[in-house]
Amino acid sequence: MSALFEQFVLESRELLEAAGAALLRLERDPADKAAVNDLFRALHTLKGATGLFDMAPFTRMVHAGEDALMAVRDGRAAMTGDLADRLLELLDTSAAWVDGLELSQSLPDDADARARAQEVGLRAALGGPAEAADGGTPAGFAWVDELPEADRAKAAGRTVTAIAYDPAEDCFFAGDDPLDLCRRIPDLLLLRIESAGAWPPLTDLDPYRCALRFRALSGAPKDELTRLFRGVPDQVALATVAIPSPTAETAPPAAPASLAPASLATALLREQARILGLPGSDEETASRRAAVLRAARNILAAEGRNTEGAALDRAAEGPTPALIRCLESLADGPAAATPAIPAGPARRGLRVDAERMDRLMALVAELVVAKGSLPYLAREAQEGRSADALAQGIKEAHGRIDSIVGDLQDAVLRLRLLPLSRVFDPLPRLVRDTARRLGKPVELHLSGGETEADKDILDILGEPLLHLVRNALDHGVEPPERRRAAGKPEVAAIRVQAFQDSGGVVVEVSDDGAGIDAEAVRRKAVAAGALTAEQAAALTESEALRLIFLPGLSTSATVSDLSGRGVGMDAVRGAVEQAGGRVEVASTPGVGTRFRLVLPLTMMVTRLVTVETAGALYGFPVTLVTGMQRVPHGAIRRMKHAESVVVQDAVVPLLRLRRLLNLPEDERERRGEAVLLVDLGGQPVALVVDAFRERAEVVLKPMTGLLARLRGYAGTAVLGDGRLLLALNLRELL
Amino acid sequence: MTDRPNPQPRAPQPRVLVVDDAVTVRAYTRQVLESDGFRVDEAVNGIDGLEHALSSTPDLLIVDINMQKMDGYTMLRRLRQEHTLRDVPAIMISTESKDSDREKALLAGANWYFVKPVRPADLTAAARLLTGREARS
Repeated sequence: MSALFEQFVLESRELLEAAGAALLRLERDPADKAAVNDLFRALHTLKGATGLFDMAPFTRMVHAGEDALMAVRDGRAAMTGDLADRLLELLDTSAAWVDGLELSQSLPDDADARARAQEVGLRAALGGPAEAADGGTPAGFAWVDELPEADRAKAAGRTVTAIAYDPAEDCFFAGDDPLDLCRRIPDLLLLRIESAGAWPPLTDLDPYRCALRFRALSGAPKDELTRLFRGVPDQVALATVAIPSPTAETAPPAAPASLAPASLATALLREQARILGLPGSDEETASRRAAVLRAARNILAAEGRNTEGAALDRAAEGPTPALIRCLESLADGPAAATPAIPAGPARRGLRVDAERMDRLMALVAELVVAKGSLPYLAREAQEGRSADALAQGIKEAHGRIDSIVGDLQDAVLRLRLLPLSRVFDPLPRLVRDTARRLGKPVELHLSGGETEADKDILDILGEPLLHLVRNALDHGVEPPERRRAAGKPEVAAIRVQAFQDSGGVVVEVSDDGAGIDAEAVRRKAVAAGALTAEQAAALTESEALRLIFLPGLSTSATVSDLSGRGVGMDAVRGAVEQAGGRVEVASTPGVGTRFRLVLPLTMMVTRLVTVETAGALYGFPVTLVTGMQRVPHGAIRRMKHAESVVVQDAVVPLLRLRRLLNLPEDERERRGEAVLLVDLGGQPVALVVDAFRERAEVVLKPMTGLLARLRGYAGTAVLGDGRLLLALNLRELL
Repeated sequence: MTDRPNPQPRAPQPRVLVVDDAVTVRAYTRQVLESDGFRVDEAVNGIDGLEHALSSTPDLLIVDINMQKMDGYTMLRRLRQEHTLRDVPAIMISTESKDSDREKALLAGANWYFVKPVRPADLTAAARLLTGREARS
């Protein structure tokens, strides 16, 4: 006997003893909740242990006991004396089986039948005068319980009508055709044709006499079958019976056949993606994310897919929807994983225009020359030249070096600039295929493909752009009939255009479709619990439109397989904001929709609006700041703890940076407040700071080490005068 | 605890903490995992499991649901609040085969859910994947 089996015998005896004691307590006091729980747990544990060995009847019997106790625990059944008797009997049978197992390592031959008998007995004890549909099987229909598992499986979990049809021997002479009758049973789930009695010797067999009987299960209600069999009421018996779902233990193959490690990896990765989408508090989702990331990294490492680990790490820095997509594509297998998110090494290569390289070399040469003036100045200082003359010399040297460094920075940036046509290229094909699939004739107009943007920006822009175009096709553009009815040209137009503007690169995706119904968006947001009906009603049209950027809301009422994959406009917004940009939407019902992505030229150099608060400098990306103004104290409204201010006829929530950063309140005497207007993805916010400072172009360094875990900070930068600046991520701070 | 084992620079065998109140199930799981080169620790309920996990930071958790004192859900939830344990991969194993049970396990913080009894090959394959050990050739 194996050590494991020995262990099982020991533990089973302990569990049965514990169960017996709990049952006795329960008999004395049927309301003893703790006793029910103890008994339940003992049986549950016993069931788990039996499941490890090949002893299905044992597992089934214990499972039935467990079910009965669950009914008692949940208040669906009472603890009657009869039920207690049944349970005691079950424990006795179990104990006997354990003894037998110890001796012969096998269950008695009649184990299966006894397990069934216990099951039936327990069910009867539970339901009292069992209503047929409640699980008890009516007299004469025991054969239903005795059907092989494979046959029962077809009707598992359903309430069906059982048919026992015993045609009279001379039925053929009455014109009956039993087989045909059975064929006409609606929703036939099972038909067994059996001999009515022992077969006579072949010579005695009379082909004109019916020697068969029929047993059938049908999904149709009893009444319907009564009508069908109305010609032979004396030969047929009908009953409504509930066929229980097979439990994991009773179903023939309990667990699916062992998965190959590769498909297990797929299933595991897919599950990790699903876990990320589960609801929960911020803390819960954060820890789930951590657990998912570690699990996914390990899975990739175990599979030797190390290069894809880099793709995962990259996605891990981004918003959750991007990470979900990455995990899903990783689950699809090593080959398919690459296109969705370009892996690290592939991204590193950069084709550089020779002319730009030459310019860079020339600038470096200039810098070397300019540098030469510094030792000369140092010697003059040593020789005691006048301070004024020295200052003049240093200023000139600085001027020269400054201009060269500026040019250098520009030249390096240009090395990384690529035309937007790179992300435009896949669009014509996408539009053509999708338009054909949807049966919507569409013409795509691309312009501004020569506009340049930083490589990193292009990498981020690709997916949102595809998403917006797909969306325009799927939800924006109406079917041709509707366009015709609305007096529009049948061929819809989707325009994608890019151009440079002062702040960076702008990409617009517009369609001449139905537009977005702001009212429908409001309703959806309310239904999704994102805001109350009153809040929704108070929103302006354009504010309501912005609701589509909330997670879980889409522009369409129906989720299609095309664009509605659970990640929607919030993913677009997330990606664009990650790059330091923003998304705008404008739509006119019946006329069309326009999305506008405003992206910085580069992610290397960030343009910040700097402000001072409590003696320190903070920066916000220029792309998010929509204005700066002084607001007199009188213009600030207070509602309990919340403050607001009217800006351009709109009420905007007013927040104080000192409070957000847990800094002491501003005690200075002052006439008004310095207010920075910030656009948080469609949500305008007024932010009180101590004072405005200059704009700055900085190279942001991400927070490292322990500080990397701080929420609310985008990075640090050193300003020209050596002061340190903290760049803030307002969305995280709020 | 004074006699902690010497920290090894790189543990060659991933350590698995098995939390189950059934001795037989623990013994079975241990046998399966040890024969595949894992080191196995055992805990008898959620509270015991938490204590073990906190003192030893395992590489993988295999947790039963229905246990005395503290059930598997509660244990995983608590554990996920601990900074050092929030990302330790966790497998929940239970006899319940309903989708809702799987959902509850994932919500509590599990990375995977197995319905008992688990085939040894499935268990070791999942353990290898979740601990980053190379799969058998």
